[in-house]
Amino acid sequence: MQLSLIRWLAISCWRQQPGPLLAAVFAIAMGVSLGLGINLVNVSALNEFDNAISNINGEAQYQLTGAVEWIDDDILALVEQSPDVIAASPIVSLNVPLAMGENNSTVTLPVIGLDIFRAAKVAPSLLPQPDASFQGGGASSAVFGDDTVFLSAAAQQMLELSVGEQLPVLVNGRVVQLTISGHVPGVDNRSVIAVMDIGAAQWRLGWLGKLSRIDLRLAKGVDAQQWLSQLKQRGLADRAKLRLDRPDAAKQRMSNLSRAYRVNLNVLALVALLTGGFIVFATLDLAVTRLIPTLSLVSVLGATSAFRIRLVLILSVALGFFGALLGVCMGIGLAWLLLGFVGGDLGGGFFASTRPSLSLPASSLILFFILGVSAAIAGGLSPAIKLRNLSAAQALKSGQSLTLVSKLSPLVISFILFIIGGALLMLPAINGLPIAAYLAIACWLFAGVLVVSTLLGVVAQALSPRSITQSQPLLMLAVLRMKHAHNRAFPALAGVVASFALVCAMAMMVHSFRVSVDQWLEEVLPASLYVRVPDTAASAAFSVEDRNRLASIDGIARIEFARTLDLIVDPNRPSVELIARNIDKTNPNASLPITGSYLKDADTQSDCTMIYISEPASRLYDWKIGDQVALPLASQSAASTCFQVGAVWRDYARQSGAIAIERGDYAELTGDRTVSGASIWLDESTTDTEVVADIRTQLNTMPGIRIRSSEDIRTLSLTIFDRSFAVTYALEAVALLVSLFGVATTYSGEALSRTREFGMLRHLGITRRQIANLFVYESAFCIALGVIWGALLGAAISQVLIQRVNPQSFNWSMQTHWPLNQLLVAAIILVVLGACTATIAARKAAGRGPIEAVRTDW
Amino acid sequence: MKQGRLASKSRRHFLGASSPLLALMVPGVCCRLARADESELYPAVLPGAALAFPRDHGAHPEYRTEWWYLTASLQSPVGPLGLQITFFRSRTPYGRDNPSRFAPKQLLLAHAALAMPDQSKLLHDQQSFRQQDVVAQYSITDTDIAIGLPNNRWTMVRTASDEYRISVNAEQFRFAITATPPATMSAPVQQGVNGFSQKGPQRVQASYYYSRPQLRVEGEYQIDNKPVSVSGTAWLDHEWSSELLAEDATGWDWVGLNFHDGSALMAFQVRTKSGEALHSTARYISVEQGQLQEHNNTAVFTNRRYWQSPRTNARYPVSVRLQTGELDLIVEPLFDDQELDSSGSTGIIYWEGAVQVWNADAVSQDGTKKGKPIATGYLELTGYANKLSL
Repeated sequence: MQLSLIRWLAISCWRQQPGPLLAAVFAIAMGVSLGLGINLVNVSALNEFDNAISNINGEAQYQLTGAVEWIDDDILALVEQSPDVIAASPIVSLNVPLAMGENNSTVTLPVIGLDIFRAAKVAPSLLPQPDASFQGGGASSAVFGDDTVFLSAAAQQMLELSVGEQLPVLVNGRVVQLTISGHVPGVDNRSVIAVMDIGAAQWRLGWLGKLSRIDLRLAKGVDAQQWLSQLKQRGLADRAKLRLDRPDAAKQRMSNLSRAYRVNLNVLALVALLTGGFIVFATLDLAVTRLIPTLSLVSVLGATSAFRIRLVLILSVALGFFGALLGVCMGIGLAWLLLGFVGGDLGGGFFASTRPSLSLPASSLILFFILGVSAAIAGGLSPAIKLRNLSAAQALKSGQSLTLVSKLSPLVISFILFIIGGALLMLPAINGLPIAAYLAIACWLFAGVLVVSTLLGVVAQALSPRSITQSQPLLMLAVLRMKHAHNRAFPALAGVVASFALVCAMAMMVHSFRVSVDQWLEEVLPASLYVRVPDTAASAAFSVEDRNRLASIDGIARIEFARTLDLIVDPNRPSVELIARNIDKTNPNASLPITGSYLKDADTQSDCTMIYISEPASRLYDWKIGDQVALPLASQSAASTCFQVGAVWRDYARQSGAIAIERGDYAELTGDRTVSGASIWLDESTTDTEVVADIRTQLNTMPGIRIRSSEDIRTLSLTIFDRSFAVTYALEAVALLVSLFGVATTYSGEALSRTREFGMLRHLGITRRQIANLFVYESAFCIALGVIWGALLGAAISQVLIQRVNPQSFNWSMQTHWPLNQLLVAAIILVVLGACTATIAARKAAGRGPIEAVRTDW
Repeated sequence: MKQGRLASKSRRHFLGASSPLLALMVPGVCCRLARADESELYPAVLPGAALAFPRDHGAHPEYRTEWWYLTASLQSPVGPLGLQITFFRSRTPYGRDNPSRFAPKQLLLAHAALAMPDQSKLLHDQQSFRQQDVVAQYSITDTDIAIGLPNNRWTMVRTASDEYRISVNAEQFRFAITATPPATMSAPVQQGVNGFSQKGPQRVQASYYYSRPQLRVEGEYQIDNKPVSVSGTAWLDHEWSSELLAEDATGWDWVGLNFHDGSALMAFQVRTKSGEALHSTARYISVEQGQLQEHNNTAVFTNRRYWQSPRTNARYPVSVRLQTGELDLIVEPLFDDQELDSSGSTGIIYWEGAVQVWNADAVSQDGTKKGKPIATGYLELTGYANKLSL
């Protein structure tokens, strides 16, 4: 009986106002689809990355690597003497730049050099297969060719090269021709990869004596780390700072690196869902109000308050169910579109520009479905509670709507939430994620939203005695309405405030970030030209002759060389970039964008080498100025070297940290005197183009070098920056759109519920046009207040993003800059659109004639 | 299940990668001629060069191909068994100027098998490496070869007292034996003309080739860590060459037989695609009143019975009648399934099995044999397997 009654009531609800219910369903769907879409893209990109990594890794049990990108190939002999080793496979793994296409868009290709015999026992999927057209049989097999390379199907497709053709690769800026001799049948058809014999790879790619890693299979029951420590008792293995990892360590590192970015995007998507929840609230609140006479009648006839609550909850679950279902479908579609048009990294730049295929993990689908339904249920809670306290007889008599009856006033709740939010801000990041800061944002957001209708009343009260209000009857009507029925505007206001606050917060954060990056670029790019060898890691270098030739070019006022290499400080984190360059140790400010102070002479340890660490490095490894730290830097002398932190510098380029060291110190320590890049200051007399042409002539044997002006680098960096935030802008726009749904729902409800009032006004001689104007005033006033309050709230939240979320997730800091113009434009657009939406919705609802309207007695 | 799929997948890929690798090791499966420019990469095998020992027991790395190949017919408390171990050395045309320690100049491969007739089972394993300090070594002064990591080490060493010490640590089995030449055959038997052994109609297809027949074997093998002592006779071949087979050859049949009376027979034929003999040769060494007598002849192999491999569908003439000179022999396998699938190292599928030998007149039409076999040894049948279709 109860169920069929509920169904009957629900259907009548739908017949009365299909529009708002549809809007609520759609709002939930929007939130779910955005969240799910972004989640699916992230999952797909990570899977793709995982796939690419495991292709490069093969299926090795363990990988032996050093602290830098290469280890000495003598280590293989040490490893293979151990009785615990079942199989060991030496690997040279490089991203080799190709001498193809435009100079400024160097394509790189992952090249794996392996020994087919040893790899067969450890990671057989990477084994190459010579094409049948290569006739050499037996020991003449092309597998061992001096210049042969094998391309995966995807690589052949991507490079538009086939068997028999030449593959020109750049080795230290010089072109080496390899012959494509076959395939790599064991990798899937999406993996772009090239395979060579390890002997040929060491020889042709400039890696003589070096290995990237050794893939291992250890005997059963061998404790891997114990085995490693035994191996390290041999001097060579110890100096190389060997590490033994599972092959999925790289995936873990990448996942850690991009996690904060992915979480940030997901939080933004959840804001859309949250706004959707507000709209469900608005819709149900309206529906409940309209159902009150019916429900009162039913209650007088014997229905309990449990029945009434059940009714509302079933309604909200139904809305949530359809919304979430639609949202899941739309989310899959959205993910598919994003992957096709934007790529897997959503502009974040964390993954190579791949087009991953869509993965659809059931866990994500279910999670977002449940989130959608939960948001709808949360939206229905307050109307349900309202109904519980329904005094049926009174309601029947008065026919009036109820106001929220709560033991705690919203102001108190709001104040408590505000305090909790403030307390949460004191907490540190949890597992590298600013969870507490996000919770604080949520608290502040709710606190701000809860007080908004009270605020509306206060403002209306303040405005009502003003002469401008008094002089305009319609304006006065509007203000008085606000003053006395401010709670009625709450649903519309809640959506507007919540979405605009977040839009403001994000816009302020991104703007601050962008200005900071721009200023930083100015500081770190003092020279006119930057020359770099697209490196093959271990050996990228200008020879001494190259350097002399460079220095002799006319028009060059000053030239500084640098060497960069990747250093793994902590196996669980991505590598840190070590930059060996000229640094004025007495005044590091001149060389690096130092934040705060630097170590004075008096505090230095004379036997320590001075290093200057980037802000992310300082936060990640908890190093402070003056600290003595250990670095896994292979030293010429066996004695361990100590390093002392001289200063911290700002860096937005290397999220996983960077360490600068004076080039002379580095060369003395490691014996590595090679350089991989040069910064060039020009005379007044010359131009960029002249010098670039001279450099190209002087270094004509190195067609692969990359020369960029500081202006180019700056433009490129900012383009990348903007691209990485493009998705954020899109999400903000959707949140605003959803809030407009809320406005439409609220005001069409308002128009309906005030039919009698409008009928009365028409009787008094007010035209329909004037009633429409009344609505414009009311809605514009309301939304303007919501926008202003949202902006204030957003400013507070932006400080949380700038001071807490960014440092905690990306380990860098920035100064606040206000994007006032953009925000003003967004605010005006929102108010105008909101007022239009409200008016259109109201006009549709209040279309009936005055007599009919007054007669309506619902 | 997953393990199995992985393993078979890996084998397939590896086969794909290296199936042509050892095509030249077991001639006949692949007979691509060396390219014209490759002929200068390796020295030619010429008649008239006298072998010198012990130097020629060692490796000859300048030549293209070389192998040491030991087969043994053994008795153990659990019954008769066969044992085979081969080391291949192969010089590639590549990496001659490459300073990398991984330059693939020389490849070393090895293959070992244990034939257990009581279980009709053949256990075999293989290893392949490029020549390198720790894992793959050979001496150029004497037979001294080692391949593999410490827990999977295979070695063959000739001692100063002319004793071969062989040790194999494979995944499924191990064995350690010593093989000593008898007083009657203390010197290596040089095949062909003073060790110059022609393998086809033309002189250029030839190898340097000597054998050590009638080796006395003592030692033990282990399966599942249970040592079993064995003894018996063995045959060792050492052969090196730069070009072996004629273009129209598809495979060969070879036997090395130790007679119980102390004499020894080596015979082989090179076949064409149609199965006709392209070239054959046999050397029978008898011991008469303590003196060695050499008998050089051609050999006629007549197929008596075929066995078809359920794995590869290859059809092998596992029982043959062998006629050479005055000898008329029936060669019968110890058991039928002694096919070697060495696609993991050499990429070759062939039959190589322990055999027993009767005089033809001791075997009646229906196959019943009178008396005990007069010789034991190994029969090698190559070029019968179809090209693998994957």
